[in-house]
Amino acid sequence: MSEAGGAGVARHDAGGLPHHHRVASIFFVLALAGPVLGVIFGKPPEFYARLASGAYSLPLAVLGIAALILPLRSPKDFMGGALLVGMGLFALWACSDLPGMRGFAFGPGTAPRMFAYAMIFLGVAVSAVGLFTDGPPEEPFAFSGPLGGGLLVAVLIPITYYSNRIGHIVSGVSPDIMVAAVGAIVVLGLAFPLMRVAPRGPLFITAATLIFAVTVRPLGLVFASFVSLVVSAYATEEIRWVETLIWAAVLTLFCSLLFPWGLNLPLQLWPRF
Amino acid sequence: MDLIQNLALGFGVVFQFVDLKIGFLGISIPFPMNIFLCFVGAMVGTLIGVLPGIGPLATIAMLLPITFGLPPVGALIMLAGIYYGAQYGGSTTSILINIPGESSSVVTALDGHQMAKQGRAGPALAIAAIGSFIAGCFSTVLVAALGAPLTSLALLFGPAEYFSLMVLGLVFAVVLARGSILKAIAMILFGLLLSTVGSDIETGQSRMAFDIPELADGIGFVTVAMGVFGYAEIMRNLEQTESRDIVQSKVTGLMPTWPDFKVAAPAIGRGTILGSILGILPGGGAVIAAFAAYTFEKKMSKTPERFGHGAIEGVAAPESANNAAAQTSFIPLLTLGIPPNAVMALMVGAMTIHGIVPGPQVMTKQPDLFWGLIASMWVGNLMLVVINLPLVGLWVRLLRVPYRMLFPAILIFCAIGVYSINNAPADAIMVATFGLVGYWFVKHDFEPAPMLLGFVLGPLMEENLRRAMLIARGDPTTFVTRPISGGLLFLAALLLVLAVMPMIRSKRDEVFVEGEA
Repeated sequence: MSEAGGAGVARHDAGGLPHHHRVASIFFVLALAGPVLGVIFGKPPEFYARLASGAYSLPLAVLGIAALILPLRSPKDFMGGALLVGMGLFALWACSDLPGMRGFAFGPGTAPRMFAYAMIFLGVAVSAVGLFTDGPPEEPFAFSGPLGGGLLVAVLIPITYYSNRIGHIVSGVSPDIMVAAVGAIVVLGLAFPLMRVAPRGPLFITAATLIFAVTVRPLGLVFASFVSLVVSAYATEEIRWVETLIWAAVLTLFCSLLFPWGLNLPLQLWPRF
Repeated sequence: MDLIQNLALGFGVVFQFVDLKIGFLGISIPFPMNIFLCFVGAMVGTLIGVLPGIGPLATIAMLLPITFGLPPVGALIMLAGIYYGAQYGGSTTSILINIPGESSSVVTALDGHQMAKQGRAGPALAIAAIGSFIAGCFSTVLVAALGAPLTSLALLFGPAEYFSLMVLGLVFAVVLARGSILKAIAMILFGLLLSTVGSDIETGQSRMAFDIPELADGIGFVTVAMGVFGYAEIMRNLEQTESRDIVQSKVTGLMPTWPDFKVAAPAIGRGTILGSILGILPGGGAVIAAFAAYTFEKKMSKTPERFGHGAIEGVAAPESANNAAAQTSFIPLLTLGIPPNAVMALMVGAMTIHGIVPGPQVMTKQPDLFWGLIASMWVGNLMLVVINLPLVGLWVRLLRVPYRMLFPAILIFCAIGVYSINNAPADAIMVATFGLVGYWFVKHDFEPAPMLLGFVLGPLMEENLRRAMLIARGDPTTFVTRPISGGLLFLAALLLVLAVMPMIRSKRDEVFVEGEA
């Protein structure tokens, strides 16, 4: 996706599909994903009610059709607008359970829905600008960066969900340390192969932060910051290991003096066993 | 004189001594805490201003958690110091090595670096510092003088007026921002939408939180700011390969000559006034003030051809303007409670965390905070002049710190800082997520600053909107029929129409890529 077509030119990728056909097919898949997920995970017992609960994503198909019949003259605007539409639809789905107006008083759901509708409207407008005016091509890594990083975040969801089971895989090891180790290893194990398709920066900045997040509670500040500092060194191409290790140690020492003692924050420095 | 009395109160706060307990010695010594914090803020700000690739927004977001343990006055004094300190620091590197550390000193590099090449780096640095100081003095007095009348005006406002005022502020922010207007409005709406996550103000019902306990309280303000500004900035900077060739010109002869002064003095005056006005306007701020002052100075000059070849006015005017604007942008924040730009939005966040609701009541209920902050700005500016000029060599040497050592430090500071607010690992995960979102936005030419404004104003806007609608018994025309509210909305609509006009006429959307004027 990173090599987007130029202004108004239908570029062909390796599969032989013109570029905007590929964009369109992504929108169709996303549009159908809502109802499918609704049927699988939805709460209502009836099939059609579950199908309808996921129908919020269907309007994305309109963007797909637009991308199919019209060339993307300004892909930056089109895709940027599309994301706004997508997030607006997501918000509408997320607040679908909230009550709206009660008489002339606003309900909890009124304002969010108002903002979401306005954002969808503007997203459509920005996308339309992308279809009818010429603009610069997509920048490199505009998709692979956030997608790669997003995948790393997403992989933590099942780990958190099944943390009870993961914690008891090996007996004798404290469960929260086990979960932290599994989380850190999975994130790292995913980040390295993703390096081939996604830029290092977003990937390893995300990975370093996630590793900090999963390890800081069970393993303490010193360990968590040192490991995440070392991981963050992969975010650039110029890695100098000796320098990295020394610098990581210096920063770790500085942070473990500044935060718990200098600023009196209740942070745990060492692992709890 | 009320003004003098109030300023005296402010200086009293700044020079206050507190007893500092030294735990292991068991004694306490008097310590000028606020002066110290002002100094730390100004120094950190200068450091940030010097280093390219990390702006005041990211820094303030990064350091917010650190200030939580401080008393509110001290915290705000320090944060303000970072902001105007950054305006100073940015000019140093612009002049000496043609690398603007801050976007507000991009124009300073045009003439400033030419002066340095001609061997007049000293006078350029000195005039930048003197101009900034004069602008700082003037705008401090202006903030003090405008504070009281604007506050009494704000007390006349009801919910409908407040809502319309916020709409006007956001419209100003959109109109004065660079880039597409549609995209800027969309970003504001995204910010507003994000701000509704969490419990509803009136019913307490959980909104869009998906039963995630960390979301029940809403998305943290620091989380969003750190992610979208700090993280996204790092991710983007890592893509550019470094090329910092440091051709250090020797700084000799700091003092400008008499002819220099004669040319620069009126430029400083004009820059200060222009900067002060643009700073007060919502959406304005240091960057636009510097650009406008440079253009204005070039138009005013009898010899515009000298600009770009080392004209001293080209350094004096934008440097005074950006410093003046940096300070006057506190006026709408302190009097009306409305942040005019993203840095002030961060200040709102800082105030809210300390339990201060920004708005007209700050001045009456917490005069020590209001006047202490104003007085600290003047003291901070003086400190910057006295300390910075002798330290120029040190700042330039700091530029040799490579980015591969800088970004891990920023990263770990953000991660520990955000974790320490609630001791919640989920907050650190959310910062990373917002970093990715911010990266996407920047890659698609969306400015994240309006989003932060929307996010900060969101709860306030919703509250006032709901209250106004309730008072008017559900009649939305109340916003137009109440005279003040209607006037503000009319002004907002007029501004938007004026800004959109060229879009109707021309077929290209690139019209809005101005600002480089």
